[in-house]
Amino acid sequence: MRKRWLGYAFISPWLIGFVVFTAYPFLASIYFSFTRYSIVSSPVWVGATNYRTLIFHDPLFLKSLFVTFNFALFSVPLGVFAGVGMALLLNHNIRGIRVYRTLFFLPSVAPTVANAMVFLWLLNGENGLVNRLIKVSGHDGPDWLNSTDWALRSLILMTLWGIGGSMVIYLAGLKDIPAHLYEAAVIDGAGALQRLRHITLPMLSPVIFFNLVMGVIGAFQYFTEAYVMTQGGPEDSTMVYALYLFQRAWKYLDMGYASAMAWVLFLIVMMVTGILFRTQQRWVHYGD
Amino acid sequence: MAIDPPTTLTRRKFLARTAGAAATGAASLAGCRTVERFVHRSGRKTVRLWHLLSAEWLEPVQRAVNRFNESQGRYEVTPLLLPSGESDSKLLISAAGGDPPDVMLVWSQITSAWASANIIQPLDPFMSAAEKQLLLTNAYPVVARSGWDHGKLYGLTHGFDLFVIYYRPDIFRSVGLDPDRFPETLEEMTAIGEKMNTFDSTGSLTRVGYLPQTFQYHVPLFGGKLYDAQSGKVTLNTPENLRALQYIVDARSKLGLDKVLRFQSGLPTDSGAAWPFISGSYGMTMDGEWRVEQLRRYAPQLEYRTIPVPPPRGGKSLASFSMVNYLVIPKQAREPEGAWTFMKFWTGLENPERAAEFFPWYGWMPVLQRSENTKVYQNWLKTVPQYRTFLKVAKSDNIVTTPPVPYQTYLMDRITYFDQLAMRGTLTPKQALINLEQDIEAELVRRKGLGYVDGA
Repeated sequence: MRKRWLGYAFISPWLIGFVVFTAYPFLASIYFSFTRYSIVSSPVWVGATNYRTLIFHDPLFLKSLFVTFNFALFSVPLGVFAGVGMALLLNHNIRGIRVYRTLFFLPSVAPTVANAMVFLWLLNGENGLVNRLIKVSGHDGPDWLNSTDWALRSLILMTLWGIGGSMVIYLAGLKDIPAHLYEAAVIDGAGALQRLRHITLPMLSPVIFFNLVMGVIGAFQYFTEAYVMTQGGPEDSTMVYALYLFQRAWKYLDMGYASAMAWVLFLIVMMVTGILFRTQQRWVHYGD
Repeated sequence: MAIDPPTTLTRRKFLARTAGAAATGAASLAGCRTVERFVHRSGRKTVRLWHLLSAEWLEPVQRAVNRFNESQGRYEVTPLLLPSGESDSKLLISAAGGDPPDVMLVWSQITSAWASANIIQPLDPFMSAAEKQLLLTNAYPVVARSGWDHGKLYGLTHGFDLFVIYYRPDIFRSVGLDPDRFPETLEEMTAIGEKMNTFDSTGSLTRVGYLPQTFQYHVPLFGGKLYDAQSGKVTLNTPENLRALQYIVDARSKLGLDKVLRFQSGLPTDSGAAWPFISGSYGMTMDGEWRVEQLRRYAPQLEYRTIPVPPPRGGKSLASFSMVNYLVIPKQAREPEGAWTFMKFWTGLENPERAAEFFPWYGWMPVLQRSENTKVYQNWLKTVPQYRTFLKVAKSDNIVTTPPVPYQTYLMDRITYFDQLAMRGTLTPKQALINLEQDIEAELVRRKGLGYVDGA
């Protein structure tokens, strides 16, 4: 018994932190989502009005939801393809491979805001490095962050800069695939593509699934780059959900409304994650 | 331009240059020591000031605070600089935690929103009848009108921006124009601006004579307004406002919307020494009074002049939009009396003649006209004659500010959004204003549904 309490005493800093800074705000926000609340005054109960207004009377809510789905739909698969591809390339035993791995991992360690500031310059329509390189080929690049067609695409492409983190996980997954499977496949005459399709990808599927779920959750909460680089513009084309939520809470002093938005987002993320878990039976192989 | 031949860097030269750099660094550090620092005095009630004045404005804040702390024995103001992007949320968090500052300088046009949310308190209980009288009769018209909500004063103006035309005589001369004969109407000014436009071999803009930007800055020129004080309602889709937006869109369309966007995105940051006007990217531009002091600091050799924006035909002269900086006292401030004492001191409401000393430090307009008439301020004006243009406009009644409604932040964000839609050619100016009005009406319905009274 004493040992048990001692254990709790040791983890109490984390427990207290979790209860105070995570569990309580999490639960309190359920209550706030049914109130009119400006953070300073006491919350006033308004029932389901926040939710009703969100769904039926707020076009910007629907727009931000659409932008976020659009972002997730492209950035998550792109991240998976690029991450797996990079991991496959960096899984070869060539000279200096550790240096390459470090180099490709490095960008994911850089602070997000610093990255965003650098990309602001890289993607500058007139003087940016990207368009200067395009100009060498005799073409004009788009005005990346100022164009309604390209601003969201720019942010999606920028997510590739941070794939180093998932790449390392894919790499660990690749290292975990037993070598005898490849040896048997080679003896049976399987080519490189066949080995990739029938051994590597199925054996890597639990890792892909993990990164997919984490990627979807991250995409729905995407905020920093849009906040720093575009502020939702031009013409609300990068008004992602979390950015609009932030504006409602801190700019327009609608904490209750923002709490309702947060809960709608939570339910959407839960739903999408649930759907992904349902589909995993078809394509994720745990080797049992 | 002659190019110097490359030189070899010998060890002696290297050492000499290193020593020179070290000496320069040491001199700079020594110079830093002369910057006025906060002086702590014990035994007084602390008044906590939060402000946003960084860079060249930080030291003048410290000097003003030190002057206040030296001037009396009851309070001691301790200033704290906040990052401007996060200041509003920091105040909200501190207010929610019950420990806000005693006084805060805000840039956001947010006093009505904060007043209706009970974040800040009215200043009337602290203000004597004489002080109120002075504010209403001697402050510039825009100052006297600003900071009020439902008949109570919530924000005391500390500074206010006005917008006039800055122009480059050298560029005028280069295209055969006489800088002494500035156009008298906006239409004429736009026409001569076209003569100053330059393009590179690919057809991209390299210089624009005059590029109209920002809908609300042009509204007052066309006799428009964003708010009707009589009815207490915002006024968006009006013939005057439509003319203003139409003018901006027409001028930009003539240059080519895509070309303008690319030109603007290629410009350096808009602040301090990097202001594109300095590099000659604009022949004429509409900008605020703080640039005068910045130009003296960063481009002392630049020849430039200022003039009130010429009105369009049938429009209003000496008209401008104004952004106002306010001093506010949060609801739970511990030392509201001390805060008010400092606010009066700093803005000049207590002694306009003494406060006149402070405004040249920032390169700002005073709050009261009595401060303008002092010797110290007039002496400063002699060093920056371009500043007189702003003071001339400041006395005008044709100044439009952010509407004092509780949803003012949302309103201004949506104005910017629909302004952008029109300027980019996505919507016609007429449709943009119709949609803007509908958007704001929908927001009012939303707020009403949530129980806000009168949209509040």
